[in-house]
Amino acid sequence: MKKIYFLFFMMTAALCFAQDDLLVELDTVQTADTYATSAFKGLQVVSIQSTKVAAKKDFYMVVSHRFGTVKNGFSEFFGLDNATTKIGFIYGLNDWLSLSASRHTLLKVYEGAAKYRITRQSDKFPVELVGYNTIGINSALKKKDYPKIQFSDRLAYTTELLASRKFSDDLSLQFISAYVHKNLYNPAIENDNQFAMGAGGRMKLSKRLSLNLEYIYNFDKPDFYTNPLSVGLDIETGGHVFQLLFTNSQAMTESGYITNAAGDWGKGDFFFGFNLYRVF
Amino acid sequence: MKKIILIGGILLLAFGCESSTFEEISEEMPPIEEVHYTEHIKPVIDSHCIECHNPAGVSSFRPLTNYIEVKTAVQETNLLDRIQRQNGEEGQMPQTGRMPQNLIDLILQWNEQGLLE
Repeated sequence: MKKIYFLFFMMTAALCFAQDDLLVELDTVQTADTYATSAFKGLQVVSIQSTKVAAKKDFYMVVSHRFGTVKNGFSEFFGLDNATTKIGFIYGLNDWLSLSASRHTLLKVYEGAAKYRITRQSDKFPVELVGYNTIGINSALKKKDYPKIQFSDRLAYTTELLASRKFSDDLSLQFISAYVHKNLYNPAIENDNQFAMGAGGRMKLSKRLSLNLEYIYNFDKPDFYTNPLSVGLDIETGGHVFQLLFTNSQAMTESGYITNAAGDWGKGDFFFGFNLYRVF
Repeated sequence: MKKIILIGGILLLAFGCESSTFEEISEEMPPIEEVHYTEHIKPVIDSHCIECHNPAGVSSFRPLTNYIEVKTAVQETNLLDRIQRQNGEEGQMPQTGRMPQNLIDLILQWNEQGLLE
């Protein structure tokens, strides 16, 4: 009987994502320093989410800007005339789950998101796995323009699985897979369901500085949009992480960033921006 | 266990949705024989453009408040090109999002018929 129980437990453990975590939760003695901590210092690698999850009861305020394209030079002051803003809040419900809400200038989107850690990188498990889900509500569409619009037409969803590994104190890499679904789309330039994969990384330059890079390849994209490529610089100050960045995707909503990159690095058509985090 | 149920719930939320196109949620407009500024174009410009394109607005350098101003913008600056660009494209107007196709078509028809007042 004991043997059957044992086998049963082995099987369920093999099927279930949280295997490591549950075992470790039971085994309190070993939790102390086996985990790799802070693969990323910011909650975002550059624009895509990193595997960092807000700690329990942490309350973050996020302010991000993406300016207009730099290619028009001084006439638009390298894009500073056409700024878009994101203001949001993130709250850590417990050790592995955080919820966030934000408002974006672009298309007047309200975005709600959940981020949850599935496994941690430890001696027993090679990577940190984190899930991220968002729902974006486009409030720019007017009933007057689209008389047949329903609330559900305003929604866009993303589901992401992020896997990161901290290789050393100076280098962390992350693998990203994302699925985007838009309830409303323009068939001339995009698909309603899109699958994308990408990679990002962080390389420490000095104690308070790191260089970050990310690229996402979209498998279901017609020719109109490009694939997002972003490079950023993390600057840590007390209580703040300040991320300066250049990207070819101006949108800050998760679905927009992955699927609606309109800039082109090759033509000097990219955007300057920053993310600013404040923890309370 | 609690964790698995929660994650499962979150994932369920994210799937299983139908999708529609902008065309499907737009109104089919009866064809207009002759498009006039005052009757057809002004209401479109007023609801989509003059929030910025007025003498006190962000784009005060290019007001679109009357017939002459809108006609000039079509003929001399590239209004028709700007409103046909796709969302996210450089210089696309209105910046808050592309107008419904039927309204873009209406302005194009107005241009083809000689920008009547």
